[in-house]
Amino acid sequence: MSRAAFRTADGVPVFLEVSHVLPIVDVDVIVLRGSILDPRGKEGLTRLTARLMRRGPKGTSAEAFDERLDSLGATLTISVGHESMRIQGSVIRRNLGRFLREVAAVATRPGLRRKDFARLRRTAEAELVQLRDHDGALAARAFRRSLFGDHSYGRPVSGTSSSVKSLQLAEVRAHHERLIRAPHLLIGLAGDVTPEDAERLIDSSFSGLTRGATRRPPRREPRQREGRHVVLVDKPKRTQSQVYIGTLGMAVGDPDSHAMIVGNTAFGGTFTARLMKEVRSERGWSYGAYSKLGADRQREAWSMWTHPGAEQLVDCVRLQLALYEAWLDRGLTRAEVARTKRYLIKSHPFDLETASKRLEPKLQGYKHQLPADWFSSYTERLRALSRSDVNDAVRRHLSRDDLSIAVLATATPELEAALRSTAGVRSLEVIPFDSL
Amino acid sequence: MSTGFESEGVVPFGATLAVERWRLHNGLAVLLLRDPSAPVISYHTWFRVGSRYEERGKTGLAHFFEHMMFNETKHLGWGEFDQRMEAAGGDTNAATWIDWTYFYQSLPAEELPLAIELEADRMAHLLVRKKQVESEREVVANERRMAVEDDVRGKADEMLHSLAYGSEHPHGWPTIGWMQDIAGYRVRDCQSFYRTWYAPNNATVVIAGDLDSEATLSRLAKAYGRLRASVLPERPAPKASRQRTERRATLRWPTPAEKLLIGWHSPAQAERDQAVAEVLHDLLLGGRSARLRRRLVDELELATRLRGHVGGLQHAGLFDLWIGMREGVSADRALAVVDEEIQRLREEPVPTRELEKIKARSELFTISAVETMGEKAYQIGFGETVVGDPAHVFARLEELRGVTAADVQRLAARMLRRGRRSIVHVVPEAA
Repeated sequence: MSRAAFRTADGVPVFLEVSHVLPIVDVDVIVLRGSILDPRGKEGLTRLTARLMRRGPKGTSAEAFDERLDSLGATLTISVGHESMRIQGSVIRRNLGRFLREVAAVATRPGLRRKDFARLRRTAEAELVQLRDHDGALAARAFRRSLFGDHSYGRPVSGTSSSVKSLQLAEVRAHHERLIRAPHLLIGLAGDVTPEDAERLIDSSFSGLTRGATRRPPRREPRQREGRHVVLVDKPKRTQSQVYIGTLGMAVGDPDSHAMIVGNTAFGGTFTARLMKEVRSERGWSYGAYSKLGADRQREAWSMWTHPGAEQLVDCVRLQLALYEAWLDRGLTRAEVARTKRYLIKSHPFDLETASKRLEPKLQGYKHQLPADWFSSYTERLRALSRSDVNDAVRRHLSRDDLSIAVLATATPELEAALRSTAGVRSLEVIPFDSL
Repeated sequence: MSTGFESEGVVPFGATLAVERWRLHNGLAVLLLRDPSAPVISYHTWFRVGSRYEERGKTGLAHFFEHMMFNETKHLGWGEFDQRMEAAGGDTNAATWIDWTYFYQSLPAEELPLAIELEADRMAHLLVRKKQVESEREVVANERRMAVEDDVRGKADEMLHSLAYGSEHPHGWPTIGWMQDIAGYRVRDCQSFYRTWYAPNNATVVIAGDLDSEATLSRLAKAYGRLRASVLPERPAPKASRQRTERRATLRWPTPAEKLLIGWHSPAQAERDQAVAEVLHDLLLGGRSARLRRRLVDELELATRLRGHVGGLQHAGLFDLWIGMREGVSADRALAVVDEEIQRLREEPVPTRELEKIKARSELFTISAVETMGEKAYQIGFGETVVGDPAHVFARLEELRGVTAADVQRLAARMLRRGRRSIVHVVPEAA
């Protein structure tokens, strides 16, 4: 596991990556709790809590707080995932001390004001309505719901209209109290700061945190439905469709991680990968064609994404399935594995190009309790992989026949019939785009 | 130097770095930034050809060539460019806009010779035949469907440019091209476009990273030295807009809420007033404490989303605002607030504190814009191509620091007039 540069008086580990190349500092506070804590029917609670925190600390208004941050030459965002929350910002070096005090105050002593709460809840509801303009996001939402079913990873971080509407300020305040505790936090600084200054500034800003950890929900393996299931998100007048096809992937730290990275990169991770070559380069059916290997504390999704024109949709879905089956049945060739390993090894310097990029492995290593050499041995681990290591790992993790297929398009009886008759499809559900 | 390059001087790039300017006998401009902070290089090739260099009926050709350039050449088979780049650990892509098309590679430093070899090759030896044109045509049509036909912002943006400039003006047609033009490209159109614009005397190569200048120039001379300059057509500057009255268009769309896209004519990138325009833009939209964001999103809860962009072109551009309304809220209400805030900018000097806030933000964004090698190369290429100054990003920061309250008031009065604006109003289709 990554070793912290130092710990605060409350025991919060702090990671540093020093670089004096540019006079800026990036600040990261990771909270090891995320939206899987949202009670059923209260989806969106962690995200709304984060947004209310961002309105500023006690004793100031949201307007005054934003004014202060902007005047410091700083940015500050709070994002939420299923397993963690992340408070991230950047600041001009000379204002680091003041900025850290603001970040600490937002995290540990947020105002969580009633006036802001009511406004933000309305905004969150309005944004869910606006989501209907974004075809890709709608298809992705339908895909995750279909793939994960009732598992927490299938519930949207931003909630639904009804769940957001049901949220109460008291719930947010209690949730914040559960989230922000010393054992849940880690801090990272990257950029133009000395270790001495970092320790002094962090110590004076982050103190007096609640110490006891709250229970983290136990890992619960998501379960994939048997067979291939299609969700057709019906949206009028689409000239183009959005297609997500996928299955369960793996968790962070899985011993097969490196082999899976090679497998996924060769299948759909680059411009010369099989998926891009067949879908875009050979046929011109979709501008983009990529696969993605997600990984989190629990098994995440593996998925492939394309956006073919409406008239090529069915052919494209069938081609993707055929490519997927060929990948799992026959595996990658020796040349593909060798080429992909070389690409990943040689491009690795870009993963470490800036101070904030070099900080990231330290944070992730601690967050996921990874072995100390997990990142530093990355290229050696890749080099050691054989063709069969890669192909076996892919077959171990990805199901050939249990797939979720989410398609956003304008539904017609012909399209429905064609999707239903696609190999292995057991069910097809049509849902209106504004129901997501 | 014996490489065939002539030095055109050295330009400081920030506090610690410098750009060397070189020119090859065939007109190729080369800008080198030696930065050994990471063992990588970023290789950019900027061509002074974008959508404003096209003709009516053949719109989108510059963007089409952004795609075509990754295809076969006399020396490379289909897909080989990308394969060789990836085998070297490289990342490669391209972009097109009104004034330019650029191509980039990010590579481990030791792979610089590969970038030189492949870029020089495709500058002169691209195969432009029926097979290549047909295969790329469908991809580009699909890109257009994604970015415009099915995307409300893309569609509105296309309408705004047509409205503000008119269909005859080269800024008035979309960079990706009209769909009927994409469908109609003939092979000889493409060959002519390539021969004309893809030539050393129309290009700037920018290399940033861990490099040795002399060895790099020597390789560049060998690879590019034999390429012939093209006869570049005269391209008069696009006519300045004479717009005197507000123009409006309505876009009916399957969307849950109304939207507004408003564009005013703004200065060229090189003008000092563009720095003032950037300050104006930030006052209205930059950061959570910006005036319009605060009023439209927070106080009045009329809108959920505000975005904008200002200029960035060699000749006059657009200062635009995109406002996504909340469901059921009329866009007219947002427009009234926009008008009030513009009136305020005209009538009241911006308080010093607010101006200092904008300058602090600008400083952060300028520094953040040159963090990676790719970002440095981009800023150098953009500055050189659009303004003629590879260190433009830093010169602009100095100009931003010098903007006064009186500048802001003056430009708000001159630029943000009703008669100089165009508005696209997006209306939910069912309404």
